[in-house]
Amino acid sequence: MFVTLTADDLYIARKLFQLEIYKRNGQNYEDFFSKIMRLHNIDFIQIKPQGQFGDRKNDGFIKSTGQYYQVYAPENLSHKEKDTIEKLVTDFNGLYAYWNTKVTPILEFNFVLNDKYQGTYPSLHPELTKIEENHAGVKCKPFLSQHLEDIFLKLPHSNIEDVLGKIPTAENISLNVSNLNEVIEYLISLKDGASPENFPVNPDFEEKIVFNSLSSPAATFLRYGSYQDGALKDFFKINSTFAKDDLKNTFSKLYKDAIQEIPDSDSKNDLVFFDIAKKAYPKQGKVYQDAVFVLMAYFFSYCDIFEEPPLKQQQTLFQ
Amino acid sequence: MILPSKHIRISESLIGLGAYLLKYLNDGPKSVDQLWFKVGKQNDTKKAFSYHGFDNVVLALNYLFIIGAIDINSEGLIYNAVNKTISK
Repeated sequence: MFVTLTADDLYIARKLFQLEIYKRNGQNYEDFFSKIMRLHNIDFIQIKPQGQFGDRKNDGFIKSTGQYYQVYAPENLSHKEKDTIEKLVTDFNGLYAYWNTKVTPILEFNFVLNDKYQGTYPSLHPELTKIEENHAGVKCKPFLSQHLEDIFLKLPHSNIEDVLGKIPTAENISLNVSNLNEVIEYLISLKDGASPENFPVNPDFEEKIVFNSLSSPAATFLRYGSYQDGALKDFFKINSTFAKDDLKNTFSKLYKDAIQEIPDSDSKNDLVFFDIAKKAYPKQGKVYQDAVFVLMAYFFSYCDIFEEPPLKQQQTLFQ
Repeated sequence: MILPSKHIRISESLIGLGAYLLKYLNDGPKSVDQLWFKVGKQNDTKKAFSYHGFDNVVLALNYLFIIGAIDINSEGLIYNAVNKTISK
């Protein structure tokens, strides 16, 4: 059965996709790119490096259309302007020398860059134009994270889930206590450091959602997660008294790591939210996702993750 | 967790459990088994503020011994070393 994604599903899929882009570099990004391209077009052929010859400057191509793709995904593209341009020129020359005559003429050369949504250098474009001028009939363009995202989000639902795992839905959160135990054991096993106590002064759930500018899909997860609060508290009462403190440390570390790793943007807090959730699953599966969202809602309400709104104070009449 | 914290209530902490154990020792020395029996009984009541397993009881006894609140008498029973309720 073909299931279409709702607007919220697409929003969550986009955020999960962006997290993949942020954390992948080098071969890891190339594998991700190739997987999406294969799902997008069955004619896409991935090239495996072969001994001393390498991949002959071609990471993948579509023979019937003459489209070639060469991937470059350094850890931090903003410090690699010179390397990027050098790679473009040498890779294209290598590609042209081997593939243009021996396989199929190059009609389109895509220089795939993991720009992590930062864009490219202006100095890259004159080089691309130069290649087009020197090689008649060849179109040459950068292929950035945004282009991969466009292709990805048009894939069928099943393919999107194949890449990202199951897209979680807030409305169906239910707490399976036996799985909760497994999630908690996994979270405690993560390396964490003790974090100082931070007693919330005014932990209003809704106000905190607004203050942290969380989007409506992320807020829905927290609300639905908090509905299971009672079951969670019962679980804590019987099973693992001291686990709560360990979990607090784990979640607050996941939060602090995510805040540092994810670049600033309008939707940073949402990305942080889904990053914590994703790292907290011991393995893929709805039952684990549900348990994680319930735990996140619990620690969100105690201000262990995300920021506490400042307490409104009465203004003094005379300063 | 010896002390209460943001997520650990006093009844859930070892210091809280220690208070319960000292209370049980008020009417005379007891063995670990007897104390565990009392805690287990408390666990089953609806009035119990929190659940404590046997591990926690042992940890709380260790803690009480370290601070000098309990000791062991000549019969191998635990007694309240502050009130000196050595025998009934």
